[in-house]
Amino acid sequence: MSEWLAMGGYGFYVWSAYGVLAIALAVELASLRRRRHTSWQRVAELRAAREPGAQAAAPAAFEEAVK
Amino acid sequence: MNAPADDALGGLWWACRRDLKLAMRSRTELAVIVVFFLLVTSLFPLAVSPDPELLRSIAPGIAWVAALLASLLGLSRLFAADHADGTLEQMVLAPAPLPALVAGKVLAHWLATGVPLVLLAPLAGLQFGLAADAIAVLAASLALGTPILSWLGAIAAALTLGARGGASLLALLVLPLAVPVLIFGAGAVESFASGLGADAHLSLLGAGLILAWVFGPAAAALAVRIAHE
Amino acid sequence: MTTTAIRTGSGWYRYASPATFYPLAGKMIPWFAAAAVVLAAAGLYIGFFVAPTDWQQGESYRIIFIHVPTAWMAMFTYVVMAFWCAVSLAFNARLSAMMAQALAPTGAMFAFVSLWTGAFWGRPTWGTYWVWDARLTSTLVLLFLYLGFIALRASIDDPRRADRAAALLALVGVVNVPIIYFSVRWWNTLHQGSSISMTAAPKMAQTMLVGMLLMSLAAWAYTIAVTLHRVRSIMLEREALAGWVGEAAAAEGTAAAAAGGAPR
Repeated sequence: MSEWLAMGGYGFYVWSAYGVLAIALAVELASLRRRRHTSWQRVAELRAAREPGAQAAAPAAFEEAVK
Repeated sequence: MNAPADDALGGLWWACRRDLKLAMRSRTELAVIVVFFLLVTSLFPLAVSPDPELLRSIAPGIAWVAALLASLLGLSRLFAADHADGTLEQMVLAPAPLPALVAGKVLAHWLATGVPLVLLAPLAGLQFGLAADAIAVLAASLALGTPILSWLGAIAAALTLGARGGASLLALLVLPLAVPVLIFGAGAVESFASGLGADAHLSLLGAGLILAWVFGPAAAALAVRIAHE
Repeated sequence: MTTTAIRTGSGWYRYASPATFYPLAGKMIPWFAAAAVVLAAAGLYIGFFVAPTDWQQGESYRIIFIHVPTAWMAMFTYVVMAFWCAVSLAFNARLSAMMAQALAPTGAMFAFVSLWTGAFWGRPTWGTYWVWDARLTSTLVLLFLYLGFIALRASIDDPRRADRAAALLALVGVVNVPIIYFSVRWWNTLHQGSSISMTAAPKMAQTMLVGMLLMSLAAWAYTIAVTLHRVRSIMLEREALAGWVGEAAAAEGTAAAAAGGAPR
């Protein structure tokens, strides 16, 4: 196992390369999640500002979506 | 100034003459661009080394990078003043075709900022000890390349009208697109100096110049229209 | 007739409206995500356990299984982005512009990862972290083109104007990409001091090619899944006051309450 990890002596390079890809993917997926959350918040704000009554009509739905 | 004519050629000359007149009024700005070019070329020996062999080999690249940066300086002026006082909007609505008016402005820009760089190339060449015939090739490459840079810059300048970010955004947009011009321009001189001849490079630059004049006016005019929506 | 189709929303044109595309995209995401995971698992398995050790480069060549696919995806994504930009300009379609907006960050990410993995492949193979070979240099310029697109969008406040300005920039860029690649190849071959070229990969065993192909397909499926997710958020941001958003909120809210977690 550790022999495989060493990658014939090139372990540092191989795992740095794959590691950066893994980090980039993780960052992208996290930013997707955060953006979705922010988008829903923005939607809730804008709709509440336009029609204060509308938000009161479905507060539960929006709060679930925002979470 | 009286209104532009209705047809394309008349509109082009009108816009060109008008911009040249305006440029002559701010001659110091143009002088600054020229001085900037010489300043940048002078920085490289200080930063690298005064070794004549080394300088002669990197001279085309330095001259070209300096020309590229210097041409960036004048680009934000291209549309900004007219945009600010509403003249650009009038051009959009004018009967003369907008691509022709834009082409006139770009031609004036090149005459005011590109041509001086071409004329100054020998000075930069001498700074780096280039032979006379290599200097001629450098001037030719700049003569073919700087109009292409003017067109790329015009499209980018029109796109960034009314955008935040100013000159640095403009540079970010122009420089990647200018890479081929830089490669063939500097490459022409190097190729000539190493005995392979500059014909291929200069022909490619010529082709690029034709492409720039064929597609540039429409693209830049579209960008100006987008800025006025 | 085309215009009738667009107006009445029949056939595929129905999905040109954010209201109908939003739920469709939501259904597509899990499939593409699953495909990406499966393809990547297969590709990595082949890449690490089936493909033989390269006699020249040893185990370091295994970086190729992510370096080449990410480079291809960076290039391919830019072309797709430019395609949606062209559609958005030609048909004045906002959804197409939103797709382009959603593609750019992922394309830039792949360009960056391609450069980084290329550097870490180059170091053990040719001794330096950076080599000015044609593909790496073109990918670097491509990264700058992506960043310019994203920066231009970000610096124009009006979303529709940002759509159109960035679209024109992308079209100018995509026309330039082959010219840039050609000029960089030219420049590279003329300065052939060394025979460094990452395009001339080691003689590929069949298994190596299969591995690279699987990883490329995985990257493609990943890009689609991520882009669909991102474009849904963009649609919410830009169409916040539209009726369908309220319905979508209600739908996702009840679904989330039922599932006991936040909507994805």
